[in-house]
Amino acid sequence: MNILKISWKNIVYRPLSSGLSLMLLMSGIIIILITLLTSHQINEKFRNNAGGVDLIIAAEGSRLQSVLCNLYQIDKPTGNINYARTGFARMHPMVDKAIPVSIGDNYKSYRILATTHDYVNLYKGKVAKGKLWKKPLEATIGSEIAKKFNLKIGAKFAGGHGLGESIEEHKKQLYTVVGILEQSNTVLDNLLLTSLESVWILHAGHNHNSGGNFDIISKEEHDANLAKKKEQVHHQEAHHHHEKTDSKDYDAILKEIDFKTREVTAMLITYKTTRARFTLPGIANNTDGMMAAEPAIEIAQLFELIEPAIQIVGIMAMLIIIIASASMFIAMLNSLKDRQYEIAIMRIMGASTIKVFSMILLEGLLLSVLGYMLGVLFSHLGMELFSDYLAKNYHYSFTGWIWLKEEWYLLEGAILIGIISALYPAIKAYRTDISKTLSNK
Amino acid sequence: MLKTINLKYNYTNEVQLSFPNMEFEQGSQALILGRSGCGKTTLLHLLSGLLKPSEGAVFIGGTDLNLLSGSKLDFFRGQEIGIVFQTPHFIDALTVKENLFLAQTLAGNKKDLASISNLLADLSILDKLNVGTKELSQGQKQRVSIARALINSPKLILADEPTSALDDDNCVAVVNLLKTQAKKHNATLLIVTHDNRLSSSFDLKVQL
Repeated sequence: MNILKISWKNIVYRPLSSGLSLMLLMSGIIIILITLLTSHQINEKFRNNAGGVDLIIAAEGSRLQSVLCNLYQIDKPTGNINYARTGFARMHPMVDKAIPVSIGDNYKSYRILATTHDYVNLYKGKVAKGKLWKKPLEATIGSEIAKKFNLKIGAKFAGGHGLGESIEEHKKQLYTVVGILEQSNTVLDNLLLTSLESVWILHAGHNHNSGGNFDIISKEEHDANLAKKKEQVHHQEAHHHHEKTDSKDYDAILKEIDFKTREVTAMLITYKTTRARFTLPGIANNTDGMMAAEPAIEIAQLFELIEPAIQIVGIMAMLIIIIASASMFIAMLNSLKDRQYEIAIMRIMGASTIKVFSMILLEGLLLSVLGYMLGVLFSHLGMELFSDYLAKNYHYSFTGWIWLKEEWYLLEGAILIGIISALYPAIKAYRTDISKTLSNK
Repeated sequence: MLKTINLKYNYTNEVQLSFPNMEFEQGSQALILGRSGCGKTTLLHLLSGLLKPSEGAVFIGGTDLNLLSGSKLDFFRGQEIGIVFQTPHFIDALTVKENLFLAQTLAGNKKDLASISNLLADLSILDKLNVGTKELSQGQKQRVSIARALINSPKLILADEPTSALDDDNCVAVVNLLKTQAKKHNATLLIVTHDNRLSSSFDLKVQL
């Protein structure tokens, strides 16, 4: 019968008060840890996905939206800009790379992004299988996409119009997967990349008026389309091997597309020198229908907006933990009243004051460490369940199976709370006058 | 075996209790009688080292309790003295068996289920081995507390009004158990009481 076991038995013997303290502490830990896990991963995503882009030139609208859309692939486009008119950025002597991106189509709600190979280099993406796209309607896809939809090299797919799960598809012209990228933990993982020309060809004669518009159709039409889609798949598979891509056809179509109608959603700019920021944004902002947004500034502002909310959550968690500590303290002090005879008896049986002191302190420690462990377990489990939901909505992958160094600080905090809550009761037990206690029958 | 010399205790500044000198052989059994408030419990606490005397000394088996302090005294008490109280108290979170294990380990002995079972069988409460102490009747509790006092085979057993909360039948049973068990373990038995029902059972009596 060591003290640890007695402490444990004492905790179990009072399931209600122990349970309450345990649950409060656990809740506090869960709130703190889920906040930490989420913000840590969001920060990491934002860092990984920044790609060193200094400036985004997009259609006039919200700057934050254009950054979220074009860099982080979260929000919808602000509109389109004419590609030919972005020459000022591409030719600017202080610009290192000016990468066009065109966003507006999807494959099963995952974005098809039309761009140049520089975009892949921005994120140091590497080809795992196959190659990067070359001809129109060739696509190189992210690792998550390949996994999720089991798309292999040579597979064909139809792009959907708009960014949501759309019903209207470009069925006549199918994309062919020519390459799969290595996992990079950046936006690349969840994108299907293709050339700008692909999008221009698909939307030729089709007045594609900025992105993000969902096509609303009736349920009947939807069902009919679904049936057609299934046929399409059979069709695809049947013709898979003897279908030839006639690139000359595409050239012909391209020739007919006026440069005035060749549009992109944004230009992602990296500077050769930071001095570029004194001229380039000004030019962009003075160009009709365009604006310049600096990701660093926009994201800093976004975080500034979120910060107080995170702080409030933190304060709430602290409050719960303080309540947990108080509840533990009160529960132990109360139980001590009933247990003064027990403590006297232990002393009679040969337990030293230090032993009695340690027993009470250990009860506090056991409770707080147990609360911590349950909190950590449920936080990670919850985060993992939550991550599916986040992935569905943002196409960012989150996980519950990462471990933060802050969890060690939390453990230290939990131990401290156990000690603080149990210290006074333990001192009281230590000071128990056994003779007096036993005389007051 | 047990010897007190000139034992005095200042209860408050005005009230000083002084006790007659006593000396008992190993294995002797005695009653210490006195009316309420004459310091019976105080004497018992002095004998067991729970209280320090203001003057005088207590020797148990040649050891001067005044010379032991802190955890040494606690340990000595656990090993050498078994105490039975009027109202028995236990660690409620533990079963009878675990309470007795605790008594063994706190006194520095190994857990010994065989000796616990033997003792409980002698006290005819072996069936309560795995029962929580809250579920015992008053008489059963007193038997378990006797078992706890005896479990480490102490040299000295002190009992403070062990029978005053019991009816006549239980009173006789408990006294007989104390006497036979003390004899069996060759322990000195001192019972502090005002319960006259016990007078006839003891030859050796000290009047306070």
